[in-house]
This record gives sequence, structure tokens and C-alpha cells, in this order.
Amino acid sequence: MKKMLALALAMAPGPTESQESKKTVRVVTTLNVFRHVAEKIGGGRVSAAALAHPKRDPHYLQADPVMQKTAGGADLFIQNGRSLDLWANDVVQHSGNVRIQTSHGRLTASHECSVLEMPRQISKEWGDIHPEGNPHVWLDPLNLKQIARNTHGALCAVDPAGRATYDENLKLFGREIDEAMFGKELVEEYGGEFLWRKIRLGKLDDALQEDGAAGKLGGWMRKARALKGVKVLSYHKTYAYFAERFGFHLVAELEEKPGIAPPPKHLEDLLDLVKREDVRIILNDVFYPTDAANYVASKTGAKVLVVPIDVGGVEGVNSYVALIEYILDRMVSSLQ
Amino acid sequence: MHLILAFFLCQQDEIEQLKKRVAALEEEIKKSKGQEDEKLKKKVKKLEEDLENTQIELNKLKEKGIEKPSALNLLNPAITVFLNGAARVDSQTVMAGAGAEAAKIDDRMFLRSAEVDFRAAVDPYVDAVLIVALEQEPNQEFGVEVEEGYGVIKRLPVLESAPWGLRIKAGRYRAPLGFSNLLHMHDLPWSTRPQAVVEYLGSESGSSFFEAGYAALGSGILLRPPIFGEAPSSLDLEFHVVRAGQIRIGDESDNDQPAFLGRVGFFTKFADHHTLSAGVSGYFERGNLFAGLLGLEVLYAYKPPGVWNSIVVGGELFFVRREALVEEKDVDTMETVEKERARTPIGGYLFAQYQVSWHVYAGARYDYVQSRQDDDVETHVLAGYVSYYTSEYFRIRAGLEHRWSDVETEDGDTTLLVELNFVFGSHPPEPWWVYR
Repeated sequence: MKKMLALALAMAPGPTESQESKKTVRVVTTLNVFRHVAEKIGGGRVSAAALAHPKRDPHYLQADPVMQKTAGGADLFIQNGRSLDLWANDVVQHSGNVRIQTSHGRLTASHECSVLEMPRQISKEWGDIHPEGNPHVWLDPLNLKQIARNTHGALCAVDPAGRATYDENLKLFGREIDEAMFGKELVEEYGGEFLWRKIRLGKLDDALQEDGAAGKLGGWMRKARALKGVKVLSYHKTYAYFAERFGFHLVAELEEKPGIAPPPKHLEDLLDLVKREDVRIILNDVFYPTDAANYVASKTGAKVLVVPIDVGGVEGVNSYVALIEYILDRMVSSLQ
Repeated sequence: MHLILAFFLCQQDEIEQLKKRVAALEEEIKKSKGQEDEKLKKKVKKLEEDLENTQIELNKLKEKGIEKPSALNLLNPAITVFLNGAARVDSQTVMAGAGAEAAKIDDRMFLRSAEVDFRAAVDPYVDAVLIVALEQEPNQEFGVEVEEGYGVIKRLPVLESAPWGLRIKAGRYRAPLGFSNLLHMHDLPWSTRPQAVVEYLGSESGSSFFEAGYAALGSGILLRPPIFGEAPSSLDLEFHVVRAGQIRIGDESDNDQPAFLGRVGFFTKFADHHTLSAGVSGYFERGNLFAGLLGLEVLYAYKPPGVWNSIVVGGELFFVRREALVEEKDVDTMETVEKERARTPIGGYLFAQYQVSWHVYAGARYDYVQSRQDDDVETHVLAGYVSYYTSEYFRIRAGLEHRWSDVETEDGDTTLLVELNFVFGSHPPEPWWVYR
């Protein structure tokens, strides 16, 4: 019986070349930023949907039947991993979709990304820690480029006929990020690879000074000069990658421990720290209440900035470039 | 153990190689720098590029070195432990259990259950779940049982891609009769089971204070027909063949017969942060006697982002038809004979819960149930609860229940309850009634 079925399937006509060239790959992602990247790399060959609402905390979503249904139609499922979106496992398991259960139909976007805050000791005593390191990797544009490469690899595996499209779009998207990061002029002169290499070793400023090109620095890096060394408080450990990349210093979190809402005593203790360190900004993710941040701000003069961490988290922030711009602009203008 | 050692030796070796390469490049650059020759200048630039790339590789490897692979337990199931304890203070004596097992449960504390939950992928085709519970019974003794133990075939060996998301479930599992029956005690938003679930689905103790509900032994198919297209709505269908006689309205002696149960569930999201689910479920067994149940369920939730205030409102209603042998006097012969009589009791509950803050949830529930043996015997329960989350792993609840009942021993009882839930081990899915 099995042999007959296999024979019948083998003899059935496969897709023609024109059908392959028109194929739409259905991508389902946990976060909106991954949907955005999939669309950038996939272009017209991809239709993508994100399961998490960008204004909801991605740690604590529940795998409802609509999410499972949506994943049921996916050719490729993309999640962050690093224990951020554990609910994705429930979605996939109950989707009834074998394409995303095994093999190349499922991608962990944070694979090969540079990871910060890897815990040396793992215990729930420390709160709801992430045992695989801080998972908010996409807030570093360098990691976002790695995510784009991972997405490219996954799309090529699922849709080999689209490789040429994906290769071209990866190049274009990479260039878009490079120019947003360093400014068009500098990227044209030095190339993105050179600039990223220098920045990864902390040698960008020196290299540009040596070449007399410091004045040509544009993009986010130019804006971020105003943030260098600025002391910042955040609600949750969301901005470690953002801070590392753009040079400001995260002194503490409003949460006493990850996943534990700020108790009153902890807020009182923070007031001394905030005054002592001259903390200027409190970053509050858009899905966290602002009571604790407003309280600390009222006693210290720090400015509370409610910011999105995902594409679509605020109206008008419809791309990754817009997301990073939005956060940087809010931070820089709050210092003026 | 050999795997970890091998991994580290390889990594250390690679790190050492890269360190040597960095040193060699730095030396070569030192020698070549300062030369005016254009060719040498280019060589220096290339060497510097190589050096930087090697340094970046080295940093990355050092970073990876911290990500120690836990090869020893990579293939172990995810294990979560749930401890549920409760204490009660009553206004009168309360008995639970039947016959020789009957015992007083008022004014006492119980470790109601210690559950160990194992979950893992068996292979690319099957996931498995095993939940073992140690439960303290009314007479203070502990019993051990397999709460649930089942496999879900998610990928069919012959048909690689299943129609309508077909999955097959087999084993022992909490039956999809309503939504509260699917939940274990530690995941309920209340400290006691709804009376209708206890009365019609199952309870060893006969009390809503201890674990209750119906776990079926059998197999079923789960389908999700694509009738809503891209709309944020879904329809779930389930049909199961199970062993009869294990549900409370059934007949124990029929356990060599099949019974059938099914559920149609509808779920939708609307206006961004609202969800509504509704379902119809049914159970049927026909052995020596007939037993059937029709369940209606509805659940609405609203969770706006950026504030920790959510609302959940819902309820379930069960219609039962069961035949029982009743002793009656025959009017002709005046002899006492056993006759089949059908009972059609109904029961259900309504509840509402409001999330006051990140930590605190407050709710109320009203139960109404007719006895499965005599529909003229009614019980009403009104309860209020406050739950406090320190985190998702430790929950404290206080509740107050009052009971009005045609059962004399139960009527007028007021119970104060305090419940603790501890969760440790692997990160479990959050209970559905918690919104963050």
C-alpha cells in the first residue's frame, strides 16, 4: 500500500518552473520585527504574519487557537529563542503543521547572534532569569544583520528557487542597515564590513580620526554621540544590547529581579542610586505600566520615556530602521 | 560526559590557535609598518583586516565558551513540579469520601496534590506527556495516580502532511468536556472545583475541595477545519472513543463498553485585545444503562496593553441524562422491583475575575447543581476569591464560600479557604486566566 502511494506521489506532476518562480512562502513569526525582516529578505515571494501584538509583553503570551491556526498554514516559523517566546513551542505543537515541527521549517532567529548577560548561576532565586542569556538581541543592529542572514538561510532552505531574490534582498537590507547606522557617505567610502569590524573592536572613532573622517560619521552613530556615557535606568533588562551598541550606560532596573514587579522598598533604594549616578533617562517598555517610572522621575528629575521594542509598537514605527530611530530620537531629545 | 569534554577541548584548541594567529599577525604588522612601499602598505592593511577579523572570531568563541552545553540532560523531558496545598475553616462539620473512606475535612490543612509533569518529543512523529500526582485524600492518606499519560501523534507515518491539522491523541487525559475540566487544580482561578464538574464528571471524594473532574482513557482525533480563512477566528473539533463507566454519571460496570465524547470549540479575537471562546461538548455511553451529557461553555477576556488590569468572565452549563435502576413498588404485583428511570439534572456556574494589579486578581463564582441521582435536590454555592502572585511560580489565594443545599449536612456551610501553589522546574505555560 505504502509503495503504491509513494509511486502515485512520485508520478504526480510537480510544480512547473513558472509555478516555482511565483511561489509564495508563508512565514509566521512570533515577533513583528521578524515578520519585517522576513518581508525584507523575502520580497514578493513571502507573505508573513506575526503572532505577538507589538504592544504586548512577548514573555507572557498564551498560545491561543488563532495563533495555532495561523501557524498551521506556515511554510516557515520564526521565533526568537533564548527563552523569550517559550509560548511558541505550544503554538507549533498544537498547529497540526508538520512542516514547522522538524527540519528547516522552523528557525530560531537569535542563532549565532552575539549574546550578553549569560548567567553564571541559574536559579529562580534570581527571578525569572533567561538561562540562555539576555534574549532581546534584535535591539542591536549588528544582531539584526545576523537575524537577516539566518532568515535568508531559512528561506533558501524552504524555497531554493527563490535564492537569487533572497541573496539580492539580503544585500539590499544589509546596506539599508549599514547606511542607517553610519550614514550613506561613510558606507560608500569604507564599506559596511570595514565599519562594523571597527565598531566591534571599539576602534571606530580612532580609525575615523586617523583618516580624518570623523566628521563624515552619520546615521545612528552620529546621533548616539549625544548618549555617550549617559546614565540610564530601565524598567526591565530590555536595552542591554541597545546600550552596548550606542554607548550609554544602564545603571539598574526598576524591577528588583527580572519578572518581579518593582516593590516599594526597592523603588526607595533606587532613588539614592538615581541621584548619585545622575540618571537622566528612564526607559519604560510600552507594555509596562509607568507608575514606578513616574514615581522615580518625580523624585529625581529623570525623564520617563515610554518606548516600543518591536516594530509596530508605536504608531508610525513600521520598520526596524524606524524603531531604532524612534528610540534614539526620543533619548537624544530628552537630554536637550 | 565525554561529549562535554570533547566540546571544550575543541573550543579551547580553537581559541589557542586563534590567539597564536593574532600574535603572529601583530608581529608581522610591526615588522611591515613604516615602510613606504605601496605594496607593503597594502599588505599591512590586509594584515590589519585579518587581525581584526581574527580578534572578532576569538571574542565570539570566548562568548560561546560561556554557553556551556548541558549535554547530560539535553534529551531529558521538560520537568515541572506543582505543589498545591490548602487549608479550610468551616462553620460546621464537613465530611468527604464514601463509605469506610469517609472522613472529616473541616478545619484542616491538606497537601492536595504534588504533581510532576514530564513533557518531551518522543520522535519527529509524537509528543508525550506524563503527569503523576500524589494527592492527599480526606482520610489524610496519600494516593498516587497517573493524572494524565498520553501521546499526541502530530505527524502521520504514511501521510506526511495531515489534512485540517489532524492530530491523534491516545492515553489517559483530562476530557474536553467544557474548559475547566481540562485544567489541573493548581491552574484553576478558584480554590475549589465547580460543583457541576464534581457532581457529573467525577470525584473520588465527592467534594469540590479535592481534585475532581474526568480523565478519559482512550483515543481521539483533533481537527482544525480552515473555515475562517485569514480571519482571527478558529474552529476546533475533537472526537474521542474512550472506556465507558469512568465518568461520574456513567455506570462503572460498563467499563468493557466504549463511550464517545466530542467537542466543537470556537475562538475569536476582536477589537485588538478582546477574546471570546465558546464551545459545545458531549458525552455518550450506552451499556447496561444510558448516560449522556451536553456541555455549553463560554469565556470572554479583555486585556488592554500597558496596564495590569484584565477581565475574564465565563461559565459552563451541563445537561445530563442518565438512567439509573430505582427500586419501586409494582402497582399490579405490589412487589418491589428495579426499574430503569431517567434523571435529567442540570448544573453549571458563572464566574468573573478582575485583575486589580500585577500581583492581585479578585473574582467571584456562583454554582448551581442538581444532584445526578435526584434532580429535585439542589445546591447553590456563592464564592469570592482574591489571588496574589509573587511571580508566576508562587501563588497565594484566599476564598470565602457559602453553600445552600437541600442536602442537610451541607446546607448553611461557610468555608474560609487559603491556598498556596508552588511551581518549580521547567517553565510551564501560564494558566489562561493570568494576563500580563
